[in-house]
Parts: sequence; C-alpha cells; structure tokens
Amino acid sequence: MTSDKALVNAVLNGDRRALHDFIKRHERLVSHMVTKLVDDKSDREELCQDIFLKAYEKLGEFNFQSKLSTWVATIAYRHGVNHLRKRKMKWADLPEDTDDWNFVEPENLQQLVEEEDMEKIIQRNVEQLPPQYRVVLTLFHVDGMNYNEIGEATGMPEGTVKNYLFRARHLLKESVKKYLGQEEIL
Amino acid sequence: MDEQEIDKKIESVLMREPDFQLPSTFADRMVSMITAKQQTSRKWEIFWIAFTGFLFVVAVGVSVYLTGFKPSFSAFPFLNNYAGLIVFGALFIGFLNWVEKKFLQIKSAP
Repeated sequence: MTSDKALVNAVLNGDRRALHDFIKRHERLVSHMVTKLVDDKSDREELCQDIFLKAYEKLGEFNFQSKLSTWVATIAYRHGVNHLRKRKMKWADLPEDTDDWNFVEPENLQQLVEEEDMEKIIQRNVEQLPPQYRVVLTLFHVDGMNYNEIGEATGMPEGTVKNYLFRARHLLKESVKKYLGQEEIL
Repeated sequence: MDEQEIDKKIESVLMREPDFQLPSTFADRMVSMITAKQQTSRKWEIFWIAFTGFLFVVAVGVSVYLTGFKPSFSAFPFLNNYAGLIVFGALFIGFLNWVEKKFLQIKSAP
C-alpha cells in the first residue's frame, strides 16, 4: 500500500489515480463518521461529498504530523458538527448521573422485549446515544482508532474520549440488565 | 446471562459495520466532480485575468483621453550624458550579487 506521504504528493501533483485511491482509502471512515453524526439518510451522501471536496482543497496544508486517516476524520467530524449546528439539531450530553438516562420508556420496554431480540435493542440504544458518543464508539470499535487518534480527530481530550467510551458502555450494559429483568418477569 | 456474556454481546453490536454505505461508484464520481470543478475554476481564472487586463487597458485609455496626457521622457533624457555611470552601476550591482551568492550565503547556511 502507498504511504501517506507518497499518496498525498501524487494527489497534489494532479494524479487522478492517486486521488481515486485517496477517496477509496477513506470513504469507509468518512461514511462511519457521517452516519453516526447525521440521522437524516438523505443528507449523508452529500455530506460525504462535501467532506472529500474540503479534504482535497486542504490537502496541501496536511503536514504529516498525524496519520492521514486521522486528519481526514478531523475534517469529517468538524464538517458533521457544523452541519448539525446549521440544522439547529440538538447536541445533548448524557446526564452526570447516568441512571437518569432512559433509552426507552419503561412502558415501551415490555413491548420491545416481546417483539425484538437483545441485539436489536442494544443497537437501538446505541442509536439513541448523543452523536458525539456514537462517533467515539464507532471510531474505537469499528475503525480501530486508539484514544489519542480519536482525541485528535474530534478535538476532545484523551480523558474525555475514555470517559465517553466508559459511560456509553456502562449505559448499554445497564440497559441490557434492565432488558433481562423484564424478560424474567415475562 | 453473566456479566462477561453481556459485555461480549455489547462488543459484538458495537463492532458491527453501520448500515449506511456509500455507493461503489462514489470514488469515481468524486474524481469526476473534482476534475470538473478544477476545470471550471481554471476557466474562471483565465476569464478574470483577461477581464482585468481589458479593464486596465480601458482605464489607461480613458485616463489618457481625459487628462490629455502626452508621453515624454521628462527628466530622463539627461541620463544620455551619464551612460558610463549607468553601466558601472549595473556591473557593480551584479558584482555585489555574485559576492553574496558565492561567499555570504554559503557561510550563513546552517
């Protein structure tokens, strides 16, 4: 595989093949970021296009201080956050006391338990987390980034990244326990 | 189900690929889009350079017409009497440049 430096230089020299490789190499990462930040499916592809256009325009400013993928993820995250702000979408955080967070209303939980299996419920709960938590979870578990890389991409301190991961997983675990409790009652 | 099993279940859900995927032609379309955008912006650059040049010529023409300006060498004809001095000046500047490049830049290089 071409190194980051060789790829960037080739793209900057107008090599279309290299530009194609650059996009192919990062489209999965960018689509993950966008999916976790933006719920509206119709906006996602357009947003990915804008992110790659921006990355291409700014590629000359990339200074190789970080991995190219981390740099692309930074652009994707900022672009996604700006998109949410433009649409005036809510940027909530989890409450300090995570016991206050309810994924589903208790009266709906019983219905869910009857209709769906546990994995579907976990998946549904993941989608209900605030966007920044979803992004951190995906970058860590799906894209295999470490705490430092996630921090660079999102602009969050490493401690916050660890905290988000811990709190999100803790909440999901509690929701599974709640689900299992309901199942026993049924 | 014990804690470990719950952790595994959560882990497996978190490691799942998100359902949204870009179309397989996305990269090709992006390359075409960027190439087209570059061509358009190059065309605009050429247009603006030509337009600026045209405006400059028009502005000069209008100024000449309005002010009744007639080109003259003004104070410069006296330089005809100092041809030697001008040649010396040019040579001297050239010499200083050569000295700088040959000796000073090498010494000051890290």
